[in-house]
Amino acid sequence: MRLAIQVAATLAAGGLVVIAMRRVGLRGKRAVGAVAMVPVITACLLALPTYREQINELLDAHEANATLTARDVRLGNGIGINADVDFLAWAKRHLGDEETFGFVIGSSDEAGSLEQWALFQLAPHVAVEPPASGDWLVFYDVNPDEYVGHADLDVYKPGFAIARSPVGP
Amino acid sequence: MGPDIASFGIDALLAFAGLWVLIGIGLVPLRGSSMLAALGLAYMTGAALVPVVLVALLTLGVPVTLVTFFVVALACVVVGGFAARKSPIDAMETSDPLRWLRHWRSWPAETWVVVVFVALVGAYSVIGMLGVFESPLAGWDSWSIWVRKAQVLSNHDSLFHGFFTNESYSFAHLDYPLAYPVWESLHFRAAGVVDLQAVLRHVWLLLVGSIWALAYLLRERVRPVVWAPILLLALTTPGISGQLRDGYADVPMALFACLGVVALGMWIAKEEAGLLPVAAIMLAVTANMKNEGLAATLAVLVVGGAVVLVRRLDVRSYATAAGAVVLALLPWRVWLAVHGIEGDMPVSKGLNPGYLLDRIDRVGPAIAAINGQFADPERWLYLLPLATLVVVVSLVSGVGRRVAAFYLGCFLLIWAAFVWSYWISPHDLEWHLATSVDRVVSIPMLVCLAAVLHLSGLLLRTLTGEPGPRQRDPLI
Repeated sequence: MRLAIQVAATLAAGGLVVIAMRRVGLRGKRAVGAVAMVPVITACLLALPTYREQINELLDAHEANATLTARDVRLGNGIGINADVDFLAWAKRHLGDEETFGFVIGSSDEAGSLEQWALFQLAPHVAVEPPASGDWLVFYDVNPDEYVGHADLDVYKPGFAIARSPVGP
Repeated sequence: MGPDIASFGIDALLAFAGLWVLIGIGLVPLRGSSMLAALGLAYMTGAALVPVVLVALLTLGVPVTLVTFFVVALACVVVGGFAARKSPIDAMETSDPLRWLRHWRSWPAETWVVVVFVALVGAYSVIGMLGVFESPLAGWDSWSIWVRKAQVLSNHDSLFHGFFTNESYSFAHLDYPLAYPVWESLHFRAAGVVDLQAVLRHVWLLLVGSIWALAYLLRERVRPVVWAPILLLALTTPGISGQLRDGYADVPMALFACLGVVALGMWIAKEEAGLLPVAAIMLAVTANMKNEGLAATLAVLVVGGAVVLVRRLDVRSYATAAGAVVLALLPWRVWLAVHGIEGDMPVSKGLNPGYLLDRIDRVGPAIAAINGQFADPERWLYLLPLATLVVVVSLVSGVGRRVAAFYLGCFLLIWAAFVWSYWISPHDLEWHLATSVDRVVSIPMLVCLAAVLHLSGLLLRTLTGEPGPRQRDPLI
């Protein structure tokens, strides 16, 4: 409905311009051509206030960015979804060059988002499916005891651990 | 500072390569001031063509490194230079390229319009660059899809199977084309680091470059008094500049699409050599950025083809250009097919009447959501109503009718394609609309921008009594 009103109003503005042009003596296509003034005038009226607003927004962004730390930049998106970025950094230090990992996460509403972030933070190491086929298993908010046979389980905190995969690649 | 300079060096090389492509196709004369004026279009051409070529090389198994990039950029320069070898060089301008500056007191009013436009856009560009220079990427897809792929492409010289055929990363839409992450990865490689703060600096250049490019393309058909305020509006439209700062691929894709549609619209108006190759390059990269870009590109090619056939334009040239676009999107599609990678959209079911009927209840909400975005004055500043006005007036009055029909057809077919994609999508409609519709409308809105720019220019010509394209070209 709102779109229809906007379109109708714009067409009406165009019609008024044509009528006005005919009143001042323009005829035929020349009068119709004056409709070009509608977008031009609208652009002039809208562009300047928008220009000012956007400039202010960009300056605000510049100011806000000046206070960011390197950690905010690197990990801010993960921190924003309450990912345990410190655990992931700790786990990443275990992975050797070109080693892969399987990511095991407990079920929660945020599991999908957390997994996307975790795989991003653990890059360039590559995640594999099934998890046990990687060099390592990374346990995130899940009980590693369910996955038997990890002699060298390294626990960061309850539910968060890393272990050499029993199967391997 | 070193990594920053190196990554901006990639942009400079892209602009240089693009400039020689434009010189080669005859769109930019070998003249200092013209080359400077065309720098925005040159950057967009290089940023479109080079990644498309690199994606094709990747699918063929050619290692893509900075050396490959330099070779492709150099090839653009050599081929462009070879094609332009017979172009005359303006001897007077070569001796004094800035002589026009000395006569500023006698500049006509329209030159001052351009000067004010350049000053405003220049200030906005610099402040914008300051605003985004240290901005981290906060948009979800920007890091989860695009930078993730760019990082893989920076660490591996090939389409690393450990990632691109890995089910664990299916959430990153492994079927999406790669032009955008390839473009990002070039900057990462040059900087020597995947820096989440660096991406938006270069994305910002795409915005400034595209506005500059549109001004260059339109300069001879549309008077500055028309394009300057409308382009200034486009530059500051929150739907464009605000969304661009999320780091998603949608706005860059829409900017390329807009350039492609304008170049094709202008070719349809006058069949000027050089415009068709530019349209093809811009549409090729649009199709190589996202699946929505592919749908939009095919829609534009279909509508363009229909106009060419109906108005009996140069079918052979058009078919060559359209063929080149299709050829450019094939390598990635073939690679996907060979490796059995499928997207989440059930395209084959999308023409099955039974499947469509079962989901007919999705059409209404999809249309309402898309049209609701069009009507959002906070984001799109009445671009669609203005486009409707100029298209209706052009169609009724006959001023630029074939061009108006082209823009209208493009808009409607793209709109229909997007409604169809929501119709057949396997995702929960509410979620799908909530997470995508505000971005999806970028391409149709920039088609509206193209229509407003071009048709307003044609209409103003009839008001001022200037010889319009029809008088120069009886086919219009």
